[in-house]
Amino acid sequence: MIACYLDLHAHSTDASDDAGGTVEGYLKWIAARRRRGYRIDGFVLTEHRHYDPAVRYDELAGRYDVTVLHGAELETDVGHVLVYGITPGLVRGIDFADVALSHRELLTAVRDEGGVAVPAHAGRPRIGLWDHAQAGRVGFELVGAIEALNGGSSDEENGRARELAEARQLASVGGSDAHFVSAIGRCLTAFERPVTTVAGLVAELVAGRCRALTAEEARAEAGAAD
Amino acid sequence: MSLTGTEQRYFGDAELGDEFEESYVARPELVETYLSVSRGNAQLDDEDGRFSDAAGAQALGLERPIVPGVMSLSIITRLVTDWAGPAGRLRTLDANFRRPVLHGDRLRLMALVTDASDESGIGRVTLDVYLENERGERPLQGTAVVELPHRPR
Repeated sequence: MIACYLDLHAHSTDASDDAGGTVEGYLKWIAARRRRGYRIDGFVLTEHRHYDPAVRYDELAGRYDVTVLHGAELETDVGHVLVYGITPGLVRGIDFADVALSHRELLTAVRDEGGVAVPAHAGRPRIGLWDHAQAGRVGFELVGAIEALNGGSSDEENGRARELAEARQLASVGGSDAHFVSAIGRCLTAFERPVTTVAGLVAELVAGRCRALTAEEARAEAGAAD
Repeated sequence: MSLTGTEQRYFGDAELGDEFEESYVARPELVETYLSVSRGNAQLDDEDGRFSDAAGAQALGLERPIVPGVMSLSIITRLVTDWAGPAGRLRTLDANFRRPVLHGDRLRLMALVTDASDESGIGRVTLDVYLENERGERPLQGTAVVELPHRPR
């Protein structure tokens, strides 16, 4: 039983300098995709090296009946990491602008603050976990889930990420890594329980009650369930 | 029949979510032609062979020679201007290059309508544009804003 489908990795013009998509653009696109039978319940903004708790999209998101949550994409010595459940303590303790954070320090800090950290585009060279895992540089005891399906990765890279998740028995999440409007929701994460808050998202990820899939797979799955 | 040979697109034809695409093979001889007609363009400096020579490209860590970024931009621009038709106006096209396009890559040229609005009688359409290769990568992605005429009454 699937309760919701969220895209866990998206960037916007509000805080990512390489993005061309606005939050309202994403919302309009999701509304258009829904009219064509796709099922996208929401997304998480994971801006590069940035988190501003004062920025809220609740009112805008409510108009489109879409869940919009906040995380961040940070850069570590084993590649990029998506962080969900960011607290004031984490913002004080971690320099989000640092492009070479110690992954052990970051993942430990996130766990201790009650959040969850998910290595992004895990199959990509250099900025994903794969190469670093082959070199034995990854503290896997701190990793519970990886982004095994990423909208910006090649099929081969996503295949490597899936292999890694299976070999290490890690939970898999999917994210579009959208930088432009029409990419939102290309890759999704299916949750067994409804997720409408960051706390709920963290709880489901920590419990491993999630699965990565493409927009087309979600559409077929949701259509079959109706 | 228009001067450019493409049909005119009208503002009322564009709907959010519309997609259009073409296929394109980045054949080495097309790159060669592009380089020869663009001689003197500093962005096309091919001294190390990155755009034309297998050995030179490999010395730079590339699997094969690459298509110049400005040529990729030209390819996607032509898709948009053909779609817009002769009376359409391309106002902006912003793109970023995330991976190289290699000689011989089989590309999907894609554009998707992400917004359409009438601003004081001018039909303005925003498009996402992509080049996608057979490996599932999107080496170029960006946005274009096009003005389209209204259909004559």
